[in-house]
Amino acid sequence: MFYYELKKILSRKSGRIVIFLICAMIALVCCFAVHNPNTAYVDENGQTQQGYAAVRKLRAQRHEWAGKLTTDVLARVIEENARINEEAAKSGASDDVVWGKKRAFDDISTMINRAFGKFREYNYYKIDSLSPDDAAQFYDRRVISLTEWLDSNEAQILSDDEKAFLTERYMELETPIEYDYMTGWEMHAEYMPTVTMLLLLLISFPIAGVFSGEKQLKADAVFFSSYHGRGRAVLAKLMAGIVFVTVAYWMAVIVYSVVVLGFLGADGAGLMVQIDVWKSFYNITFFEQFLLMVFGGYIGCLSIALLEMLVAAKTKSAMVSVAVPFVLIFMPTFISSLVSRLEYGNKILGLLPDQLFIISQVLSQFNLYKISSKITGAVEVLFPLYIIISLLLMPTVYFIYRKSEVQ
Amino acid sequence: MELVLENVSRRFQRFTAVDEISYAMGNGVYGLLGVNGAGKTTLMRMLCTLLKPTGGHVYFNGSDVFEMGAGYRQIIGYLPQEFGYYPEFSVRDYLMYIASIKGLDRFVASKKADVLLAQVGLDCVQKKKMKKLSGGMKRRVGIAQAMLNNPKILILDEPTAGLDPNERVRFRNLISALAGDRLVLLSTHIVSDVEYIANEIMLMKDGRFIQTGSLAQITAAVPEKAWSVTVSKNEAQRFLENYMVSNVRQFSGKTELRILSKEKPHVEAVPDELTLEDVFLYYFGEKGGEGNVLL
Ligand SMILES: Nc1ncnc2c1ncn2[C@@H]1O[C@H](COP(=O)(O)OP(=O)(O)OP(=O)(O)O)[C@@H](O)[C@H]1O
Ligand SMILES: [Mg+2]
Repeated sequence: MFYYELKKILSRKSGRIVIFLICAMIALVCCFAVHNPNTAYVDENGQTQQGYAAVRKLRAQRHEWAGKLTTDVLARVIEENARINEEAAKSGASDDVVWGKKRAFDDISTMINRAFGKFREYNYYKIDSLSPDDAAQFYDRRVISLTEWLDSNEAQILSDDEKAFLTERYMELETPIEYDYMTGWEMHAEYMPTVTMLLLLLISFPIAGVFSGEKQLKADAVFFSSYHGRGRAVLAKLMAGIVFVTVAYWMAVIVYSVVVLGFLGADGAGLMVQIDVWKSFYNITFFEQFLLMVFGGYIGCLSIALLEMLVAAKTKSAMVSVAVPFVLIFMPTFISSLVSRLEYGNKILGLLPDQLFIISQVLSQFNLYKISSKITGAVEVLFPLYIIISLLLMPTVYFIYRKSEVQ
Repeated sequence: MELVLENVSRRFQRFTAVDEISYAMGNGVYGLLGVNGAGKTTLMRMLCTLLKPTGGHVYFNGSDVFEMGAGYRQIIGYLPQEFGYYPEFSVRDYLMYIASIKGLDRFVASKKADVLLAQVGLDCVQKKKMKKLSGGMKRRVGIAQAMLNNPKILILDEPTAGLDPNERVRFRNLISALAGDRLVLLSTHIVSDVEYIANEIMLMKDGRFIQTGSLAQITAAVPEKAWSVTVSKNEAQRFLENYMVSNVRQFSGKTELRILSKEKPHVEAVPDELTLEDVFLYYFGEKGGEGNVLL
């Protein structure tokens, strides 16, 4: 039964088109992820190079700055930056040449810009106005600017407990942090939401057919009047749906991850994500972020696909059920400006399933939840919440579908 | 074996499609005869547990079929009026899939599929995709599908609709051959489908059985006689307006009519045996009138 259910999905033209589109989408996104200005090497003439050789050069360049970001190192970055500026002013070198020279340490200068800039803004030239002596304040600035922001009007929606929680998490970050080339993880995180969201939208078409196909084909009369038609055959459908989502998801994500990390390099797995998401209060490594993203995406795909199956089992309409993922992915963007004005607006938005696809953004946000007097971040709520929702949806789909009447 | 309907009703909102039907069936071929909308499909769906009756019960050997659930479904085979299939599946895959949801193990299913495919004459197209079959072939796959679990109760909803006369005859013979030791219930609005193969005929109208029994019993219950008469075209028109006319045939300026009437309608009228066709007209047709115009 299970075999034939899968065969139904895969033998349909829509199923095949979707599989082709998933392959094409992965290929395309991989190209974007490994071939963009962030992965470019810029030579001494300001010429941009792309490709595997360029990535290796960029990697080698940045490896030179690898190590603990101590005050000394940070002071050297500020110094080096100033020296390059000065040199450029004299020689009249083009912006591209200057950019090329700063490439080796620009992850670090970005952090410096963030640390010394205002909490909610990013000033690309902030580093130019710093002196090497300022480097000593680097880590303190992170906590100070948080404290300043917490005292501002904007942060007054947060309770005192929540403020204390954030400050504590900020202080817990072990300093000095270690730096290394981490462009592979950075790009992987950047394009991961595209992969998982597009994947969900694509698989929603074949998934919609699993529980609406019989009705549409008028094959429901034979199905439901058969021995297993209100039992194991329904279970086989559910299994086929789950297996299809699971296999499609992991194939796509593994191919994407292997290509991107293979091409750009997986160095820096053990570095703290703050290198990339400076403001994050989650003190985790890039590898941990990777795990959160791939499992978050999976739980997101699975729970939304199950909800879609539930709608299909109830309405028997592919059109209605296929809309479910589109609504869940796109609605939050449209309603966010309205909902966020409500008292708990952001907290609600922070728990919608689209968040599971944009874990790297969730890591940079300050959505906090209080669960039995303990404050936690959104990530700690999202995972168990959607795992539970998925587990509840499975039997619900089964019981709803097996009760179907053929009118 | 006994399948008993006890005051079975089904309402859709305010419309009653099946109205308190009580009837008992055993082994044999039952023909459910009725015009469009009589409630045949609705009744059959209830017998297949696809639709819950809004009133009454269906019992198989004394147990309510809805309470029996899978145990009851195991012994029924159903060919729906609109037989839906999986267009991308081959005939064989289709049968193997249905066999799996009917709970047959793969080896048994494969054997059974071979036998049935040969029986319905489709062994040569078993690799073809379902969507590539002709209407008649699909219907035969439909029968094969219904027979997979060797059902004690075989329910066929208008199995001959849309078939050409040859295919129709084949199908009738096939049904007769399959009837054997089981209850076969088939619905139709085409009299000749059941005239010869059904042991028992139920005439259904507006959700009720208005007449049941063997062919002989049913014809005997009609108080009219059949008459055959050949008249001029003008006279024929008068008969059409005043009598139930079951057949009209024109030849060389004359018109031959088959009339249902208690009395002799015309001096030259010759009495004839009542056929099921006449019975159908008697119950479902309109009695004469302006509507009946000779073309
Ligand atoms: N799901 C439904 N909702 C509302 N009315 C329905 C439904 N199904 C059937 N009916 C009505 O019930 C009546 C009987 O329908 P049914 O399909 O049982 O007739 P039938 O005897 O099978 O006719 P046909 O010869 O055209 O197949 C019809 O008037 C139909 O409109
Ligand atoms: Mg019908």
